[in-house]
Amino acid sequence: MPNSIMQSELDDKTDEFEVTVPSPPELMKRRAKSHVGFILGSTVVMLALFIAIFSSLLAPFDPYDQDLTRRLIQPVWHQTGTWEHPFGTDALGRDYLSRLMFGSQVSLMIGFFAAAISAVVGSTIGMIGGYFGGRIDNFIMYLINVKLALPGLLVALSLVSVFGGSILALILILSFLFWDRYAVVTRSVTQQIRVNDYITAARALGATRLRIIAGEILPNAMNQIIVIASLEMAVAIIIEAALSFLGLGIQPPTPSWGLLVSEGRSYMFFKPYLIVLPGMAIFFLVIAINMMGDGIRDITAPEGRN
Amino acid sequence: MARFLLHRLYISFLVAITVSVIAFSLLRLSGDLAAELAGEDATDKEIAVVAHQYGLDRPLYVQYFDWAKNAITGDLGRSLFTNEPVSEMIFERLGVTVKLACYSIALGLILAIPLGVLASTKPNTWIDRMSLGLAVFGQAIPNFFFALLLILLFGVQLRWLPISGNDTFAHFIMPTITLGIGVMPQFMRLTRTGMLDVLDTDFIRTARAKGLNPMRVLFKHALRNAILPIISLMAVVLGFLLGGTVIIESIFALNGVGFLAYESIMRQDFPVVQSIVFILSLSYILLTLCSDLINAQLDPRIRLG
Repeated sequence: MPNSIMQSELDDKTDEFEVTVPSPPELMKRRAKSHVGFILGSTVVMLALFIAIFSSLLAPFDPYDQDLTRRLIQPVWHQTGTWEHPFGTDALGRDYLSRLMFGSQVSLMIGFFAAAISAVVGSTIGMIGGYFGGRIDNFIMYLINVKLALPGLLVALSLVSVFGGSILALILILSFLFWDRYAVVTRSVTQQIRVNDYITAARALGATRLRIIAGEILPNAMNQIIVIASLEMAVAIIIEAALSFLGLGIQPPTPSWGLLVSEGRSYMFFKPYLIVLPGMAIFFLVIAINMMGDGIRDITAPEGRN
Repeated sequence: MARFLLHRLYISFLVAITVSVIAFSLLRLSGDLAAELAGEDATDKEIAVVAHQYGLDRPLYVQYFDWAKNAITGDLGRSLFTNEPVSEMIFERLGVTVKLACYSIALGLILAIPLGVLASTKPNTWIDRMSLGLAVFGQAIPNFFFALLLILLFGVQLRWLPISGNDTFAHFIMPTITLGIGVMPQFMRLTRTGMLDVLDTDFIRTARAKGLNPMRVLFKHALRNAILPIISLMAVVLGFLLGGTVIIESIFALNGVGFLAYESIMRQDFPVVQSIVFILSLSYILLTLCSDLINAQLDPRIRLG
């Protein structure tokens, strides 16, 4: 019977055996379809991704195009608003909808790459520590402790002030902030896995350490890495916005949502939409990513666990 | 216990040394500081004089040891811009930041623990969903945006609260709400999962079977066992908040360490920045050391394992 399940996993179409238990991919698909949070979250994320990729086609105006005769036009839901600028214009007469659309590029790009790079670095460090143990593990624990002790936001601020607020610099600096959680989790997962018989078997067959880590341990830690990555991506988006808000992130005139909030701040008492719109954009994107991450965690959890 | 303590102290010491090196090198990466101090149209000779005056012409490791030697005696150097002693600048402002961090943790706990306990007793009901919703909100809202919304509502529309300064307790209310909502989710999730685990155990079933007051079972018997990880988390969050108040302090013009750090970073005042990074790291190391020792004292498995 276990043999038949394995067979069905290998090849769905030529399955000759009667299988009563759904295969793991089948089960995940079923769970995903009934998981409201996951569907909602991933829809919003896909929508944001679509807007980011096609913003030059979708945006009604050039986000850098200033027109001082049309500054601070109210959005369409205000009495004086028009459909020409549905979200109004900013203090320099730039179309706010277009700036918001282009802003999604910055958030998604920084969030995604910061989470991905820190995932690679952190998981590598964690798996090495967990697999080898002993002195190597002690050294890695020491690295993690040093990272945890440093006040991350202050270090990021100082590094940005030194290296400047380009998108690349921000991605690298944020990656440096986030690797530790991956390391902690993959380390403990690796410690649990390495005592299993199939690892011993792989070693007995002469597999190299690299092959064991990449081929046997990584696939088992992958679910958790993806879950952490989605949560860290959300945090990275918030921190990028915060750095840009403080003037130490993305530099004007590039539209970043955090920067838009900071630019709108001097007008917020009379034109609150200038801070509310970009603020809500960050809020909804982050909620959507978190919902997607929680969804992935529920969907990929081994059966019987909640 | 002695062995555990020694090992833990040894690690903390190593980490502290490393952190001091990192803090020291942070702003020195930025290139020629002497040129910046000397002003825009300074000649090479003037720059050299400035470099010599501040000791910047010596090799880096000499500068580091010099700084570390003085730091041990409490002398953290002088600010490059105001020429005040750095240690005074920091300790003057530490009170505001510590106050803000403690208020925020208190608010976070006041919200998180009852909600987490209630959510754990009634999983998948409306109260569970509501507290989860609050946690999702707290996690997703950028604190600078939330702070501005509070200012718009309580400062401008209703005119209930002052929007900048740190003179009275009222000045701390909005910053505390902003940060408290931000730290609440972690405490709540930890309380909820901890309680769910404990409520499943035999001794709770026994306590209930004896006919004890259900509230007493919940808050006395169960919560006491679920609270250990919360103590560790408190240390971590406190350490995080001491360095994480930068944004909120600068929005509300609270004159704390975070605001000082922000100003000093903006004007590349590295003696101040490195000292703040170092002091905050040290306090994190001490806090986690204490919480580990408390946990080891309470749970023999840790200190013997």
